[in-house]
Amino acid sequence: MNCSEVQLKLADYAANQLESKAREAMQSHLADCVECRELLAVHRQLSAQLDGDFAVSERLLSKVEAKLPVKQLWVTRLGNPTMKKLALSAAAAAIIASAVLLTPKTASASTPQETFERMGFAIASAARQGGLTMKVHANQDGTVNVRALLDGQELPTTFPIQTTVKRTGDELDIRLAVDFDPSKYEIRFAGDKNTLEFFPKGTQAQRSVVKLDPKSSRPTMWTAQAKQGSTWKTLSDAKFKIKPDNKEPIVVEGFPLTYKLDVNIKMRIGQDAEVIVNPS
Amino acid sequence: MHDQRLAFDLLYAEHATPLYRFALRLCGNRDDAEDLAAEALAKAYRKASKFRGDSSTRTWLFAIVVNEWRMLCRRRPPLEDCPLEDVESLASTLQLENFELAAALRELSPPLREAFLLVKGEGFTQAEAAKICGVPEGTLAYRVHEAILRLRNALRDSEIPHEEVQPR
Repeated sequence: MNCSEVQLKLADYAANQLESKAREAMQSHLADCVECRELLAVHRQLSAQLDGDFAVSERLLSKVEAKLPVKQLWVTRLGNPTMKKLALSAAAAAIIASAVLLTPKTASASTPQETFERMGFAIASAARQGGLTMKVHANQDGTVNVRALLDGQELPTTFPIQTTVKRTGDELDIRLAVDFDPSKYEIRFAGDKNTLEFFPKGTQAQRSVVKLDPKSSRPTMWTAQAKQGSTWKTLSDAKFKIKPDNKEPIVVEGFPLTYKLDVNIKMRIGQDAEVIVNPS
Repeated sequence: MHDQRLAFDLLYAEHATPLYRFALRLCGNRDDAEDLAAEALAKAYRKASKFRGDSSTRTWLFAIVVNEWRMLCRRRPPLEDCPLEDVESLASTLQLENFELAAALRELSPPLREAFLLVKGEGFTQAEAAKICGVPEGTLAYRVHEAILRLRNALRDSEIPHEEVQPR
Protein backbone atom coordinates (compact mmCIF):
# COMPACT_ATOMS: atom_id res chain seq x y z
CA MET A 1 0.00 0.00 0.00
CA ASN A 2 1.21 3.51 -0.67
CA CYS A 3 0.66 6.59 1.51
CA SER A 4 -2.45 7.78 -0.38
CA GLU A 5 -4.17 4.42 -0.01
CA VAL A 6 -3.26 4.17 3.65
CA GLN A 7 -4.34 7.71 4.49
CA LEU A 8 -7.77 7.17 2.98
CA LYS A 9 -8.28 4.17 5.25
CA LEU A 10 -6.83 5.64 8.43
CA ALA A 11 -10.27 6.54 9.81
CA ASP A 12 -11.50 2.95 9.63
CA TYR A 13 -8.13 1.66 10.85
CA ALA A 14 -8.16 3.97 13.88
CA ALA A 15 -11.66 2.76 14.74
CA ASN A 16 -10.70 -0.93 14.40
CA GLN A 17 -13.11 -1.35 11.53
CA LEU A 18 -10.84 -3.03 9.01
CA GLU A 19 -10.70 -6.73 8.32
CA SER A 20 -7.56 -8.50 9.44
CA LYS A 21 -5.93 -8.65 6.01
CA ALA A 22 -6.38 -4.94 5.32
CA ARG A 23 -5.34 -4.19 8.87
CA GLU A 24 -2.08 -6.09 8.53
CA ALA A 25 -1.27 -4.28 5.30
CA MET A 26 -1.88 -0.96 7.06
CA GLN A 27 0.30 -1.95 10.02
CA SER A 28 3.07 -2.95 7.70
CA HIS A 29 3.02 0.46 6.00
CA LEU A 30 2.66 2.39 9.24
CA ALA A 31 5.69 0.66 10.72
CA ASP A 32 7.87 2.31 8.08
CA CYS A 33 6.11 5.63 7.45
CA VAL A 34 6.39 8.52 9.90
CA GLU A 35 4.07 10.76 7.91
CA CYS A 36 1.20 8.26 8.02
CA ARG A 37 1.83 7.54 11.72
CA GLU A 38 1.61 11.26 12.41
CA LEU A 39 -1.68 11.42 10.60
CA LEU A 40 -2.94 8.41 12.55
CA ALA A 41 -2.10 10.26 15.76
CA VAL A 42 -4.14 13.24 14.55
CA HIS A 43 -7.06 10.89 13.88
CA ARG A 44 -6.87 9.60 17.43
CA GLN A 45 -6.52 13.03 18.98
CA LEU A 46 -9.56 14.29 17.13
CA SER A 47 -11.59 11.21 18.03
CA ALA A 48 -10.77 11.83 21.68
CA GLN A 49 -11.81 15.48 21.36
CA LEU A 50 -15.18 14.49 19.93
CA ASP A 51 -15.82 11.96 22.65
CA GLY A 52 -17.19 14.33 25.27
CA ASP A 53 -20.13 13.84 27.64
CA PHE A 54 -23.23 15.25 26.13
CA ALA A 55 -26.76 15.88 27.32
CA VAL A 56 -29.64 16.01 24.92
CA SER A 57 -31.55 19.27 24.65
CA GLU A 58 -34.54 19.45 26.97
CA ARG A 59 -36.60 21.06 24.23
CA LEU A 60 -36.06 18.19 21.80
CA LEU A 61 -38.92 16.13 23.20
CA SER A 62 -41.47 18.87 22.78
CA LYS A 63 -40.25 19.53 19.24
CA VAL A 64 -40.70 15.85 18.37
CA GLU A 65 -44.17 15.94 19.91
CA ALA A 66 -45.14 18.94 17.82
CA LYS A 67 -44.29 17.00 14.67
CA LEU A 68 -46.15 13.83 15.59
CA PRO A 69 -49.36 12.94 13.77
CA VAL A 70 -52.66 13.60 15.49
CA LYS A 71 -53.82 10.53 17.37
CA GLN A 72 -57.33 9.26 17.58
CA LEU A 73 -59.73 8.92 20.43
CA TRP A 74 -62.45 6.39 20.90
CA VAL A 75 -65.67 7.63 22.37
CA THR A 76 -68.16 5.05 23.47
CA ARG A 77 -71.76 6.14 23.61
CA LEU A 78 -73.29 4.42 26.59
CA GLY A 79 -76.23 2.26 25.59
CA ASN A 80 -75.07 2.35 21.99
CA PRO A 81 -72.77 -0.43 20.89
CA THR A 82 -71.35 1.47 17.92
CA MET A 83 -68.06 3.21 18.43
CA LYS A 84 -67.46 6.64 17.07
CA LYS A 85 -63.98 7.73 16.27
CA LEU A 86 -63.11 11.31 17.03
CA ALA A 87 -59.94 13.19 16.37
CA LEU A 88 -58.00 13.90 19.51
CA SER A 89 -56.59 17.39 19.74
CA ALA A 90 -52.92 17.94 19.13
CA ALA A 91 -52.36 18.67 22.81
CA ALA A 92 -53.80 15.31 23.77
CA ALA A 93 -51.62 13.66 21.19
CA ALA A 94 -48.72 15.47 22.74
CA ILE A 95 -49.32 14.18 26.24
CA ILE A 96 -49.77 10.64 25.00
CA ALA A 97 -46.57 10.98 23.09
CA SER A 98 -44.95 12.40 26.21
CA ALA A 99 -45.82 9.32 28.15
CA VAL A 100 -44.41 7.20 25.37
CA LEU A 101 -41.21 9.12 25.24
CA LEU A 102 -40.35 8.65 28.86
CA THR A 103 -37.54 6.31 29.55
CA PRO A 104 -38.31 4.38 32.71
CA LYS A 105 -35.45 4.11 35.12
CA THR A 106 -35.06 4.28 38.84
CA ALA A 107 -34.57 7.63 40.51
CA SER A 108 -36.04 9.34 43.49
CA ALA A 109 -37.86 12.62 43.41
CA SER A 110 -36.62 15.13 45.94
CA THR A 111 -39.16 17.93 45.89
CA PRO A 112 -42.96 17.93 46.13
CA GLN A 113 -43.09 19.53 42.65
CA GLU A 114 -41.02 16.71 41.14
CA THR A 115 -43.17 14.11 42.87
CA PHE A 116 -46.29 15.84 41.62
CA GLU A 117 -44.88 15.98 38.12
CA ARG A 118 -44.10 12.29 38.24
CA MET A 119 -47.62 11.55 39.38
CA GLY A 120 -48.93 13.55 36.39
CA PHE A 121 -46.92 11.47 34.00
CA ALA A 122 -47.91 8.24 35.71
CA ILE A 123 -51.54 9.21 35.13
CA ALA A 124 -50.74 10.16 31.53
CA SER A 125 -49.13 6.75 31.20
CA ALA A 126 -52.28 5.14 32.63
CA ALA A 127 -54.29 7.11 30.07
CA ARG A 128 -52.10 5.73 27.32
CA GLN A 129 -52.94 2.22 28.48
CA GLY A 130 -56.66 2.98 28.51
CA GLY A 131 -56.78 3.31 32.30
CA LEU A 132 -58.21 6.82 32.42
CA THR A 133 -61.87 7.21 31.61
CA MET A 134 -64.13 10.24 31.72
CA LYS A 135 -67.88 9.78 31.95
CA VAL A 136 -69.73 12.77 30.66
CA HIS A 137 -73.42 13.55 30.97
CA ALA A 138 -74.91 16.45 29.02
CA ASN A 139 -77.64 18.01 31.17
CA GLN A 140 -80.82 19.54 29.78
CA ASP A 141 -79.67 23.01 30.79
CA GLY A 142 -76.54 22.74 28.66
CA THR A 143 -74.16 22.06 31.52
CA VAL A 144 -72.25 18.81 31.81
CA ASN A 145 -71.32 16.46 34.63
CA VAL A 146 -67.93 14.84 34.34
CA ARG A 147 -66.64 11.93 36.39
CA ALA A 148 -63.10 10.66 35.98
CA LEU A 149 -62.13 7.07 36.64
CA LEU A 150 -58.67 5.68 37.06
CA ASP A 151 -58.46 1.94 36.46
CA GLY A 152 -62.24 1.79 36.82
CA GLN A 153 -62.23 3.51 40.21
CA GLU A 154 -63.87 6.90 40.41
CA LEU A 155 -61.54 9.81 41.19
CA PRO A 156 -62.63 12.46 43.70
CA THR A 157 -63.94 15.83 42.56
CA THR A 158 -60.59 17.48 43.18
CA PHE A 159 -59.03 15.55 40.30
CA PRO A 160 -57.97 18.45 38.08
CA ILE A 161 -60.35 18.43 35.12
CA GLN A 162 -61.49 21.76 33.75
CA THR A 163 -64.59 21.61 31.62
CA THR A 164 -65.60 24.20 29.06
CA VAL A 165 -68.89 23.94 27.19
CA LYS A 166 -70.10 25.85 24.15
CA ARG A 167 -73.71 25.29 23.25
CA THR A 168 -75.23 25.58 19.78
CA GLY A 169 -78.88 24.54 19.85
CA ASP A 170 -78.96 21.01 21.17
CA GLU A 171 -75.32 20.39 20.42
CA LEU A 172 -72.54 20.94 22.93
CA ASP A 173 -68.89 21.44 22.15
CA ILE A 174 -67.14 20.17 25.25
CA ARG A 175 -63.52 20.61 26.12
CA LEU A 176 -62.10 18.53 28.95
CA ALA A 177 -58.66 19.58 30.12
CA VAL A 178 -56.57 17.65 32.61
CA ASP A 179 -53.66 19.77 33.68
CA PHE A 180 -50.71 18.61 35.81
CA ASP A 181 -48.47 21.60 35.35
CA PRO A 182 -46.78 21.85 38.78
CA SER A 183 -46.42 25.61 38.44
CA LYS A 184 -50.20 25.93 38.71
CA TYR A 185 -50.50 24.27 42.11
CA GLU A 186 -49.45 24.81 45.67
CA ILE A 187 -47.85 21.47 46.46
CA ARG A 188 -46.25 20.05 49.58
CA PHE A 189 -45.49 16.72 51.15
CA ALA A 190 -48.01 15.52 53.70
CA GLY A 191 -46.25 13.47 56.34
CA ASP A 192 -43.97 11.47 54.06
CA LYS A 193 -42.45 11.80 50.62
CA ASN A 194 -45.01 9.54 49.03
CA THR A 195 -47.97 11.65 50.07
CA LEU A 196 -48.78 14.96 48.46
CA GLU A 197 -51.27 17.62 49.31
CA PHE A 198 -52.06 20.23 46.70
CA PHE A 199 -54.60 22.73 45.48
CA PRO A 200 -54.75 25.09 42.51
CA LYS A 201 -52.92 28.36 43.18
CA GLY A 202 -55.26 31.10 44.32
CA THR A 203 -57.94 28.77 45.68
CA GLN A 204 -57.78 27.15 49.07
CA ALA A 205 -61.36 25.97 49.45
CA GLN A 206 -60.58 22.39 48.46
CA ARG A 207 -57.46 20.32 48.30
CA SER A 208 -56.33 16.85 47.32
CA VAL A 209 -54.31 14.53 49.52
CA VAL A 210 -52.82 11.81 47.39
CA LYS A 211 -50.79 8.83 48.46
CA LEU A 212 -48.53 7.49 45.74
CA ASP A 213 -47.08 4.11 45.00
CA PRO A 214 -43.36 4.85 45.57
CA LYS A 215 -42.30 2.84 42.55
CA SER A 216 -44.79 3.71 39.84
CA SER A 217 -45.84 7.14 41.21
CA ARG A 218 -49.46 6.20 40.51
CA PRO A 219 -52.01 7.21 43.14
CA THR A 220 -52.97 4.48 45.60
CA MET A 221 -55.32 6.78 47.51
CA TRP A 222 -56.88 10.13 46.56
CA THR A 223 -58.79 12.14 49.11
CA ALA A 224 -60.73 15.32 48.41
CA GLN A 225 -61.01 17.71 51.35
CA ALA A 226 -62.85 20.99 51.87
CA LYS A 227 -61.83 23.71 54.29
CA GLN A 228 -64.18 24.31 57.20
CA GLY A 229 -62.86 27.05 59.43
CA SER A 230 -59.35 26.02 60.28
CA THR A 231 -59.83 22.31 59.63
CA TRP A 232 -60.14 20.14 56.54
CA LYS A 233 -63.15 17.90 56.11
CA THR A 234 -62.95 14.86 53.87
CA LEU A 235 -65.50 14.98 51.06
CA SER A 236 -64.65 11.71 49.35
CA ASP A 237 -61.78 9.37 48.84
CA ALA A 238 -60.79 6.65 46.48
CA LYS A 239 -58.34 3.78 46.73
CA PHE A 240 -56.55 2.31 43.74
CA LYS A 241 -54.93 -1.03 43.30
CA ILE A 242 -51.60 -0.97 41.57
CA LYS A 243 -51.47 -3.78 39.07
CA PRO A 244 -48.12 -5.52 38.69
CA ASP A 245 -47.63 -4.16 35.17
CA ASN A 246 -48.04 -0.63 36.45
CA LYS A 247 -45.11 -0.82 38.83
CA GLU A 248 -42.53 0.29 36.34
CA PRO A 249 -40.96 3.45 37.73
CA ILE A 250 -41.46 6.61 35.74
CA VAL A 251 -38.82 9.29 35.75
CA VAL A 252 -39.03 12.67 34.17
CA GLU A 253 -35.82 14.56 33.70
CA GLY A 254 -36.22 18.27 33.31
CA PHE A 255 -39.46 19.94 32.41
CA PRO A 256 -39.66 19.73 28.66
CA LEU A 257 -43.07 18.18 28.25
CA THR A 258 -46.67 19.17 27.87
CA TYR A 259 -48.60 18.57 31.07
CA LYS A 260 -51.99 19.10 29.61
CA LEU A 261 -54.45 16.60 28.24
CA ASP A 262 -57.10 18.25 26.12
CA VAL A 263 -60.06 16.30 24.84
CA ASN A 264 -62.67 17.90 22.60
CA ILE A 265 -65.97 16.12 22.06
CA LYS A 266 -69.37 16.94 20.64
CA MET A 267 -72.52 15.76 22.43
CA ARG A 268 -76.23 16.37 22.30
CA ILE A 269 -78.35 17.42 25.26
CA GLY A 270 -79.32 14.44 27.41
CA GLN A 271 -76.59 12.21 26.01
CA ASP A 272 -74.02 10.18 28.00
CA ALA A 273 -70.55 9.48 26.75
CA GLU A 274 -67.63 7.52 28.05
CA VAL A 275 -64.34 8.93 26.90
CA ILE A 276 -61.46 6.55 26.95
CA VAL A 277 -58.15 8.05 26.04
CA ASN A 278 -56.74 5.03 24.35
CA PRO A 279 -55.11 5.32 20.99
CA SER A 280 -54.92 1.59 20.27
CA MET B 1 -50.18 0.87 17.84
CA HIS B 2 -48.91 -0.13 21.27
CA ASP B 3 -45.98 -1.98 19.69
CA GLN B 4 -45.24 1.06 17.61
CA ARG B 5 -45.10 3.22 20.72
CA LEU B 6 -42.90 0.80 22.56
CA ALA B 7 -40.57 0.53 19.59
CA PHE B 8 -40.42 4.28 19.32
CA ASP B 9 -39.72 4.63 23.02
CA LEU B 10 -36.67 2.40 22.68
CA LEU B 11 -35.59 4.11 19.51
CA TYR B 12 -35.76 7.52 21.15
CA ALA B 13 -33.78 6.41 24.18
CA GLU B 14 -31.03 5.05 21.95
CA HIS B 15 -30.79 7.64 19.22
CA ALA B 16 -32.00 11.04 20.47
CA THR B 17 -28.70 12.06 22.07
CA PRO B 18 -26.37 11.11 19.18
CA LEU B 19 -28.73 12.61 16.60
CA TYR B 20 -28.94 15.89 18.43
CA ARG B 21 -25.19 15.97 19.08
CA PHE B 22 -24.47 15.33 15.40
CA ALA B 23 -26.99 17.97 14.31
CA LEU B 24 -25.57 20.54 16.73
CA ARG B 25 -22.05 19.93 15.49
CA LEU B 26 -23.22 20.19 11.90
CA CYS B 27 -25.07 23.46 12.17
CA GLY B 28 -23.71 24.96 15.41
CA ASN B 29 -27.08 26.34 16.33
CA ARG B 30 -29.12 24.73 19.10
CA ASP B 31 -32.49 25.70 17.73
CA ASP B 32 -31.74 24.37 14.25
CA ALA B 33 -30.15 21.24 15.72
CA GLU B 34 -33.30 20.50 17.70
CA ASP B 35 -35.39 20.91 14.56
CA LEU B 36 -33.15 18.59 12.55
CA ALA B 37 -33.09 15.86 15.19
CA ALA B 38 -36.82 16.24 15.89
CA GLU B 39 -37.62 15.81 12.20
CA ALA B 40 -35.69 12.54 12.07
CA LEU B 41 -37.30 11.25 15.27
CA ALA B 42 -40.82 12.23 14.20
CA LYS B 43 -40.32 10.37 10.91
CA ALA B 44 -39.03 7.43 12.88
CA TYR B 45 -42.17 7.47 15.00
CA ARG B 46 -44.30 6.66 11.98
CA LYS B 47 -42.12 3.71 11.08
CA ALA B 48 -41.03 2.68 14.57
CA SER B 49 -42.61 -0.77 14.56
CA LYS B 50 -40.83 -1.65 11.30
CA PHE B 51 -37.35 -1.09 12.63
CA ARG B 52 -35.28 -4.08 13.50
CA GLY B 53 -32.98 -2.23 15.87
CA ASP B 54 -29.98 -2.96 13.66
CA SER B 55 -27.43 -0.57 12.19
CA SER B 56 -29.67 0.30 9.23
CA THR B 57 -32.02 2.17 11.59
CA ARG B 58 -29.18 4.36 12.77
CA THR B 59 -27.98 4.96 9.23
CA TRP B 60 -31.51 5.89 8.16
CA LEU B 61 -31.95 8.37 11.02
CA PHE B 62 -28.66 10.12 10.35
CA ALA B 63 -29.43 10.29 6.63
CA ILE B 64 -32.60 12.22 7.48
CA VAL B 65 -30.61 14.70 9.55
CA VAL B 66 -28.08 15.16 6.73
CA ASN B 67 -30.82 15.70 4.15
CA GLU B 68 -32.70 18.11 6.36
CA TRP B 69 -29.51 20.02 7.03
CA ARG B 70 -28.74 20.28 3.31
CA MET B 71 -32.22 21.65 2.72
CA LEU B 72 -31.72 24.12 5.54
CA CYS B 73 -28.43 25.27 3.98
CA ARG B 74 -30.20 25.81 0.66
CA ARG B 75 -32.96 27.82 2.29
CA ARG B 76 -30.61 29.76 4.51
CA PRO B 77 -26.95 29.60 3.44
CA PRO B 78 -24.55 29.59 6.42
CA LEU B 79 -23.15 33.00 7.31
CA GLU B 80 -19.62 33.68 6.22
CA ASP B 81 -18.79 35.07 9.64
CA CYS B 82 -20.00 32.46 12.04
CA PRO B 83 -21.70 33.92 15.17
CA LEU B 84 -19.64 33.49 18.30
CA GLU B 85 -22.49 31.76 20.11
CA ASP B 86 -22.65 29.08 17.40
CA VAL B 87 -18.97 28.31 17.92
CA GLU B 88 -19.59 28.17 21.66
CA SER B 89 -22.55 25.80 21.18
CA LEU B 90 -20.41 23.56 19.03
CA ALA B 91 -17.54 23.75 21.54
CA SER B 92 -19.92 22.59 24.28
CA THR B 93 -20.11 19.20 22.55
CA LEU B 94 -16.33 18.72 22.63
CA GLN B 95 -13.89 17.60 25.28
CA LEU B 96 -12.90 20.53 27.50
CA GLU B 97 -15.14 22.70 25.32
CA ASN B 98 -12.32 23.07 22.81
CA PHE B 99 -13.06 26.42 21.20
CA GLU B 100 -10.25 26.21 18.63
CA LEU B 101 -11.47 22.87 17.32
CA ALA B 102 -15.05 24.17 17.22
CA ALA B 103 -13.95 27.19 15.18
CA ALA B 104 -11.93 24.96 12.84
CA LEU B 105 -14.91 22.63 12.36
CA ARG B 106 -17.06 25.59 11.41
CA GLU B 107 -14.52 26.49 8.75
CA LEU B 108 -14.90 23.12 7.03
CA SER B 109 -17.13 23.08 3.98
CA PRO B 110 -20.47 21.30 4.52
CA PRO B 111 -19.47 18.10 2.64
CA LEU B 112 -16.23 17.79 4.63
CA ARG B 113 -17.99 18.53 7.91
CA GLU B 114 -20.69 15.93 7.28
CA ALA B 115 -18.17 13.25 6.40
CA PHE B 116 -15.82 14.06 9.25
CA LEU B 117 -18.54 14.18 11.91
CA LEU B 118 -20.22 10.96 10.82
CA VAL B 119 -16.98 8.99 10.83
CA LYS B 120 -14.96 10.60 13.60
CA GLY B 121 -17.79 11.90 15.76
CA GLU B 122 -20.42 9.19 15.46
CA GLY B 123 -18.28 6.15 14.73
CA PHE B 124 -19.77 5.18 11.37
CA THR B 125 -17.53 3.24 9.01
CA GLN B 126 -16.62 5.15 5.88
CA ALA B 127 -18.87 2.79 3.90
CA GLU B 128 -21.85 3.58 6.16
CA ALA B 129 -21.15 7.30 6.07
CA ALA B 130 -20.96 7.13 2.27
CA LYS B 131 -24.49 5.68 2.20
CA ILE B 132 -25.75 8.38 4.54
CA CYS B 133 -24.24 11.14 2.42
CA GLY B 134 -25.23 9.48 -0.86
CA VAL B 135 -21.71 9.48 -2.30
CA PRO B 136 -19.26 6.72 -3.35
CA GLU B 137 -17.11 5.34 -0.55
CA GLY B 138 -13.93 6.68 -2.18
CA THR B 139 -15.37 10.20 -2.20
CA LEU B 140 -16.34 9.94 1.42
CA ALA B 141 -12.88 8.64 2.40
CA TYR B 142 -11.30 11.55 0.56
CA ARG B 143 -13.54 14.03 2.38
CA VAL B 144 -12.63 12.60 5.78
CA HIS B 145 -8.95 12.71 4.88
CA GLU B 146 -9.22 16.28 3.61
CA ALA B 147 -11.09 17.34 6.76
CA ILE B 148 -8.40 15.79 8.95
CA LEU B 149 -5.65 17.64 7.08
CA ARG B 150 -7.46 20.95 7.36
CA LEU B 151 -8.18 20.50 11.05
CA ARG B 152 -4.58 19.51 11.69
CA ASN B 153 -3.37 22.65 9.96
CA ALA B 154 -5.84 24.84 11.79
CA LEU B 155 -4.92 23.36 15.16
CA ARG B 156 -1.18 23.08 14.62
CA ASP B 157 -0.48 25.83 17.14
CA SER B 158 -3.25 25.01 19.58
CA GLU B 159 -2.81 23.10 22.79
CA ILE B 160 -4.18 19.70 21.84
CA PRO B 161 -1.97 17.26 23.75
CA HIS B 162 0.38 15.50 21.39
CA GLU B 163 0.50 11.72 21.37
CA GLU B 164 3.71 9.90 20.80
CA VAL B 165 3.67 8.65 17.24
CA GLN B 166 3.99 4.89 17.39
CA PRO B 167 2.85 2.22 14.94
CA ARG B 168 0.04 0.08 16.23
